[in-house]
Amino acid sequence: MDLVRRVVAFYVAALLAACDERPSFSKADIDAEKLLGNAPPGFLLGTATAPHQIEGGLADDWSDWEQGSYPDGRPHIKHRDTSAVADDSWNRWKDDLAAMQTLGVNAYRLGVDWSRLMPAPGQWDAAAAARYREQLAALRAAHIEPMVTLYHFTLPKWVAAQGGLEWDGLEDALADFAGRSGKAFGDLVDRWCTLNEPNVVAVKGFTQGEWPPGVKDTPRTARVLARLLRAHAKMAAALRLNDTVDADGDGKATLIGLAHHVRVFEPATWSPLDVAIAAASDAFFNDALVQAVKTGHTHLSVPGAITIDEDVPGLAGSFDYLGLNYYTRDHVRADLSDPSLSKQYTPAGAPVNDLGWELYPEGLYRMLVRFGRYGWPILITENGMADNAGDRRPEFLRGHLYAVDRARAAGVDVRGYYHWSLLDNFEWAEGYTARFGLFTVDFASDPTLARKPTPAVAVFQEAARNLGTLR
Amino acid sequence: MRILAAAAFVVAAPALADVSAGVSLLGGVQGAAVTYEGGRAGQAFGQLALAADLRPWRALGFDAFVLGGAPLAGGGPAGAVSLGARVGADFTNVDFRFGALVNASPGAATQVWPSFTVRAGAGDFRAVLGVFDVYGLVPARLGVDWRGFGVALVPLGVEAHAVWPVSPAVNLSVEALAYSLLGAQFVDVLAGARWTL
Repeated sequence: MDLVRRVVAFYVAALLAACDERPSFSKADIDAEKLLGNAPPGFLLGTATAPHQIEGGLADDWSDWEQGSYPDGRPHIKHRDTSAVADDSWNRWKDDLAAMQTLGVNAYRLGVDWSRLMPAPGQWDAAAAARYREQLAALRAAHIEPMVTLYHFTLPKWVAAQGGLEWDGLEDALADFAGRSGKAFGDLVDRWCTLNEPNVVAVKGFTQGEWPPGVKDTPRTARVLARLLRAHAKMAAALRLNDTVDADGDGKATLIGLAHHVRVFEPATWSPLDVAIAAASDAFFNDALVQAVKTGHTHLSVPGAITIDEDVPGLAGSFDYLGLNYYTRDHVRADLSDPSLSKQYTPAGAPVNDLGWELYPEGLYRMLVRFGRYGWPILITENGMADNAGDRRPEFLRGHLYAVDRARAAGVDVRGYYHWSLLDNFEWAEGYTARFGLFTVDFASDPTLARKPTPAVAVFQEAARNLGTLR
Repeated sequence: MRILAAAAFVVAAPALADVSAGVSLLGGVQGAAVTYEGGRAGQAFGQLALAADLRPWRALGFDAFVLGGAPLAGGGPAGAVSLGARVGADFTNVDFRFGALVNASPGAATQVWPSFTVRAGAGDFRAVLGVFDVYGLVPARLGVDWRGFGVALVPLGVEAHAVWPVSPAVNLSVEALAYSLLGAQFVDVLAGARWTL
């Protein structure tokens, strides 16, 4: 039996050797942490928003989607909420700026909206561009470094009419928009985020059918993701060609990346299919995009459905940073009848946000350590929680900033953290039922849409003071 | 025609008439890991298996097992129990078992998979085809058995087992697996004994 024990010990040790630490944070350690106290000068601390979710007054493929219902009669958006007004940030952006100054940010991730700037093919709305320039200049004057996202889930109607994310002309159209934006805003912007969460928009729209165009077809999901990678490469090239002005004097006119949504795929059990499907989900959702940018070669595989292998000109070398959006962990239970080959859930008793997403700050640490190995500087381009009452967000924020500190202490080159979000806003299919804002907004009964601080503002300010951006 | 003739021979071969029953108890460890750019995430599980086999009358045969596994460290996957129950028949040159495997874990959807084993050969040699038949630890295997020792190919890996008689009523038993499936790597070793009742 001693021999058997030795054999078992050898094999398990060999398999698990050099496995990443699976940390467990204690509340005492988190509470004792001087948040961002050891972050280097220039560390970016900010918030993030998206045009369709805050601006109001947009007419795009999502504003059409908001009017519709699923085949079973459920409205696409809870309570048939619409983004028609949202936070009215198109008109109230100075209120947003004031909120940011209250927080003590030195960075802000915002979008410029494609449908607003290009309402028709080849047409550029100079007045809208001027409004964005006004905002960007005001941010710079307030010592807030803007990061501009070019595609954040919504398409102009003229793009949707030609097939949207499946349109063969999409890549060139996005590159054209990127080039025009680089030329129009490049003297005010160095940091560009070409795409927000290409994996999410592909899966939500083409596997789960919950977002436009409401398709459930795994091969189309993979093809859309591959197309978005090609688009990113062309957008990056267009930005470098058209934004040649160094806005902040650091010697670099463009710093380009995208916001990649990552989540921990935890096998539900030791069952081999749970482990294997979790691994396949991780490879497709978390790893494929980053590997593609690293190598310049897209490899996407959905077992039994599709495999895509293609070289993408300009993809390798297109990142100056890797943006990570992190929210939660999924527990993966194999279910071969589902298009994703699994059902994902949160175990009973786990701490969750108002949408049922597990609160797992250790996952942010794990992802930072893992993706830090690719060698790019990392910006956490989104992290936040739906908390309508606002009383649990302080602990969430503290735990996740602690994860950032731990990752930096472990040698990961984390250079910024953008909290999602500055304001409560139009949360896609959840409408106004899910509140992510550090500042809350009473959409139902406050015609002024005043931005009111939630308790998490104090935690954010504490980190900003430690960083030296709030005095 | 040759295949049909061979099949007819196998089915027509005399059934094994011995009545027998046995109970097995095994314990072991599974390691499961996923490798990615420059790193690896993994988890080890302790496992305990109880199995029974019964041949009550002529060729008729049954087997059943329960295997429980729990993580050796918290914060990751949960524990789960697999239950298998199968029925079949034993002939001189072929034996088979068909049934179902149920995997259950608190809060998770219950999984039900088919489980079967078909063994055919001559003398002490058997070719073996199995699906979810090694306590549910491999999705499929194809291999050979000889006098209680066996080795099989599984998806990108191997399964091996061995049985040593230590007395007329007791056999020591070892089951080992090492394979990769959809980017995940597994090793599993179970060791214990089978008592003939």
